[in-house]
Amino acid sequence: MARSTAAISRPPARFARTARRTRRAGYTLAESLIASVVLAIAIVAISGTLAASYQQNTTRGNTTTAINLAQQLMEEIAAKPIALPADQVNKPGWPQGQTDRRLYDTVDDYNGYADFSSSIQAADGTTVNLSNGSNGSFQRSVTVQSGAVPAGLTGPPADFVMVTVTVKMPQTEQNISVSQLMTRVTRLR
Amino acid sequence: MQTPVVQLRQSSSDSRRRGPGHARGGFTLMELVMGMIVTGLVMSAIAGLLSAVAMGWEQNGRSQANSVHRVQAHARIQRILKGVKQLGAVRHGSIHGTTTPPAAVMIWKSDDNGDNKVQFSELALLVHEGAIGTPQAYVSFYDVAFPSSWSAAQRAAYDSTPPGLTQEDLYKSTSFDDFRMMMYVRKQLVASNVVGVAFTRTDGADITRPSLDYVLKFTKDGETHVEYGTTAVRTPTTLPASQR
Repeated sequence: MARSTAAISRPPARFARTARRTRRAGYTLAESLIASVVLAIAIVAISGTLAASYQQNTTRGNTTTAINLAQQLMEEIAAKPIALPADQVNKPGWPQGQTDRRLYDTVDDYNGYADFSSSIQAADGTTVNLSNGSNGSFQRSVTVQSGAVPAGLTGPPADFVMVTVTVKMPQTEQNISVSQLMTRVTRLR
Repeated sequence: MQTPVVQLRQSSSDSRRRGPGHARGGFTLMELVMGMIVTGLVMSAIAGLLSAVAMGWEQNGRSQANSVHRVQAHARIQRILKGVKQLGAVRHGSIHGTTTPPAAVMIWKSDDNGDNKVQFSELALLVHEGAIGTPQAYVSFYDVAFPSSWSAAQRAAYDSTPPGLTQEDLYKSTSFDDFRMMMYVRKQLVASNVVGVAFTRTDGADITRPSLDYVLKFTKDGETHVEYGTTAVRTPTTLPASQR
């Protein structure tokens, strides 16, 4: 009886030899999965860094373009007087429905003005696209605040105007704002 | 005490005694080839990734350099124009560089002697030149630089004698070429890789501050960008009666 039990529990010697020969050292499923997870984490981490770098570069380029766009409009407004001499007629501006900037003759004509970088009208009447490869258009808008006498200064409020040009950047929807205090200037005639 | 030679012999004979029963496990040819193939695949994937990163890096650097290049052009033009006394004759040019003659603007730079008159040495010129319509074109600034050894009297004498240009010449389109050819006129580069330029002057009797609109089209390293700017002259002098 004991002999027959031993015969059942112990595999025949030739099977054991075969099993030893075919058994090869390898990775277990768990080890493979852990390795894959570690590799995936490493790749995601590297990709995240690259994506952040790319995004940063795009934002930097957009900021430069936005500042240039704001500066252009600010210079254009700075060329206009706050008020015209008494003998001249003030032409309508943006608040009165005039959309052609070339016809604006005073600073307050720009109040509320808005345009897009994909179709900006230059002084010669041509339309230029200044989006510069960005995936979207920059939006410019202007606010003109009359009577903006700076603190500590006295003078007729009508001589001071605060102009703010805001540029909304594409994708990120971030804003760049440039403000400038303008005062009444006279050109000697 | 054994000598090192004896020790070496014993060790060698030990390894021989271990024989084939103690053979160390190595890779078969198939395993080696498979391993090399997998390693090759992984290496080429990594090389592709690194190459893409390098290209992106290079592109970033190029794009950044181009952006700085354009910002500098803006800054130089603004610096030149903001402080001038008058904007003279203007040639419009074209943004695509297809119009000849190219864009140019004559400038009364400053009233150095305070006489409220234009002298030759107070003139300047901003002009688009070179191979117009190609990236080899550029924007230059011309002004007058007398020899530093000259006295004030010598400078004044040269200013008052021909071929000095006068107030009216500031507004003549022929002055663009005449001025460039004159003695003591020097040239400075303002912006390179400018394919096209368009200048538009806004001035007149009703204008408080004259301004110059400029549109520059840059092509550099395969990238094309259009830049638009305006500069308002901060302290202009009175326009001559002929220009009002």
